[in-house]
Amino acid sequence: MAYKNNFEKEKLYQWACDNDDFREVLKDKNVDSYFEIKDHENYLREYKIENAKDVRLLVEELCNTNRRYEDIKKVITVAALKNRVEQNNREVGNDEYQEALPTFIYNF
Amino acid sequence: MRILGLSALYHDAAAAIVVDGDIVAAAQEERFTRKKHDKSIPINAVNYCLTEAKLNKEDVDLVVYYDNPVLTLDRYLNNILMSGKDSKEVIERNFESMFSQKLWVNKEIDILLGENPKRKCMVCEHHMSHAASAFYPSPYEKAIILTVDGVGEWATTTIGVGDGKNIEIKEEIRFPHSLGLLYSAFTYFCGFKVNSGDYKFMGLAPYGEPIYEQLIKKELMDIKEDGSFRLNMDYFDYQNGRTMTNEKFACLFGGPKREPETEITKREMDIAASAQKVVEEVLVKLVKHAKQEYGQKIDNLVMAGGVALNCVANGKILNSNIFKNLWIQPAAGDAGGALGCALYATYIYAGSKRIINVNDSQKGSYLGPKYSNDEIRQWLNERAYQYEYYEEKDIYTKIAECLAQQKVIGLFQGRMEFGPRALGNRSIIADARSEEMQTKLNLKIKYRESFRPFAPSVLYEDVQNYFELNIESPYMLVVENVITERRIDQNVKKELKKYHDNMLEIVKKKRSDIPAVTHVDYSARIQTVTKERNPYYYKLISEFKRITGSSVIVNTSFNVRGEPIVCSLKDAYECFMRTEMDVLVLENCILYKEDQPIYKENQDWMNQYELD
Repeated sequence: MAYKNNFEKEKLYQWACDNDDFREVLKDKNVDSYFEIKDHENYLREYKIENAKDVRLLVEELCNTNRRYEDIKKVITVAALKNRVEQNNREVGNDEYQEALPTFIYNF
Repeated sequence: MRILGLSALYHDAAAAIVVDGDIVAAAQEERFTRKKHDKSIPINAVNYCLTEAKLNKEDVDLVVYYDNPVLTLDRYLNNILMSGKDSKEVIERNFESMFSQKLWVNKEIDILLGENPKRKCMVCEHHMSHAASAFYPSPYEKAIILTVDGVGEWATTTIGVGDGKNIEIKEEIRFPHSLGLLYSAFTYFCGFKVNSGDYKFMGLAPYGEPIYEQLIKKELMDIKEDGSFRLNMDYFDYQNGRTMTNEKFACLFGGPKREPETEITKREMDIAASAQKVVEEVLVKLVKHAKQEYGQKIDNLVMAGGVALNCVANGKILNSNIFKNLWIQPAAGDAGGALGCALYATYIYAGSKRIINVNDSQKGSYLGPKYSNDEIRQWLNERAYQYEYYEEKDIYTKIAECLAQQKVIGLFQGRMEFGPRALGNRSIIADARSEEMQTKLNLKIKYRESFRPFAPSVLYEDVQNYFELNIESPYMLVVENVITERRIDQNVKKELKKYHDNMLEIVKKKRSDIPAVTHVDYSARIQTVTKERNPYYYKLISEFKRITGSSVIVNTSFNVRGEPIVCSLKDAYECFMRTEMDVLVLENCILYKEDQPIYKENQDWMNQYELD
């Protein structure tokens, strides 16, 4: 089932390799605090993703948070549209991605 | 306004319905599907909540999902970047669930409830869902809010302030730096299951010595005076989507991880003691910082997030006296997020009036399904199961007599609990004074060999006669010691040596006059019981006190190892018949094992539930 996403996965991997300098390092221990201040107060928002236009808007919003996403804008959009949940081919409870919960890693 | 809150797609899926500010119902999906920590879209829990609220699907005005998929996608992509050439597993593990279900969660909701243009779908940030679940049901007008979990979108720890209807999150610590994931990493390394094994790991700590505490603080994390911290990701592998810890971590602790179900050695005990100590230190520092920075004039602290289920740490926070009052959301993990996001929308979006209840608005967390005596009798009659029906005036005496005769009783009454703890409505109960009870319950009923004792339920007015606790603990979220007068001197370290680190030998030793509920360090995870919160359970324990003089009983969840707590009559009867439980109480009906027809098992139930 998941093979349909192989191309997008490969593109994401390539993108990660191209940006390998992004790896985080332990921050300077001289700081007094590792707290970060919340930069917004919009905790609750309406959520309605219906079509390609909505997906594009969502991806635009995402790109505003990190410029590196610009390189994979198209990949994210295609991935989202390819995996759209459709009422006519899904039934509640028939969850194709409902694999057993992993016992070795926290599911996030 | 009728608001449905949902948590799903990570772990512990749940639904909650809030109508004009009233928490009408809430339940975890696992209870219906019988699949522990079920993460699927909670269709059964939703159907139950709507039935309880007497609503049809089209009556729901607003559905709120407890996590913001856009922020989660941001973290997913960032995580891929951070993993660089190592990102294959990260991409693979979450790609489908991210781009399908999570991103299209509103479509999942449409499938669940049917399309309805009048109904809105909203998403609430994960830690705000937790914060709201802690603050709004609490009995406080103002409170400092601390949320700590594995991760939700980006945040792993937040400090906020609740005032009336408003909640403001002031500071946060972000992924991958997470106290919840650190604890899960140790849980995993010591051979327990991530998420469901955290409790066992915590129970292991009193057997060990915190000899790794400094090593953890020196190598694994940097803790600041304000409780903020960063993990040294050189030792962890969860960011790369593989396992929680890596080889470097194993080298630090003298060898590979313990394999599940193998012998627990002194190393695991010492790691547990050390990790617990570090977690407690961080939490107390966070609480102190929150008080100093935002709560000079606030006496109340509320908490949620999976780490808030660490009742040993909660006891330390309580005893630190930094805040006068403490309230913890009983469904502190992700399930409670369903309730929190619904409440947040209730007050912030719908603008409902917040009415504060002095006893809290959580209704004892008895928010799940219940069966009437008529329904129970009909169900039993249809199956020709033998039972005796007792009137209200007799039922408590009858149950108390059975307890005093050392019977193990499955107690199924009232509404099912919301959250991981059984609080007297879906509980297995027994006499806490019995020396043999702990072993009997473990081996013949729960089918486990446990180094953990069971939890006590005690009448609130008598709590100080047994435990060093002077506040209510209705949700079993605080650990305190048995009072000195009741203790029997034992030296755990010496005993461990004597029995070659075999904890199962020393756990059997009598440590107090309520041995079944006394841990090796004399601690106990206490549930106080009041007439107001649970009249049935209160009357039962009161009768037990009248007969025996003791107002403490054992309370463990009504299930076998790996099974979700029983939800239906069928679940309860099956669990009763499969185990060596003596008596089953279904409201006012009592079933005795010896009277039941021969029970034919049509499945290999021992393997039905994956071991936790």
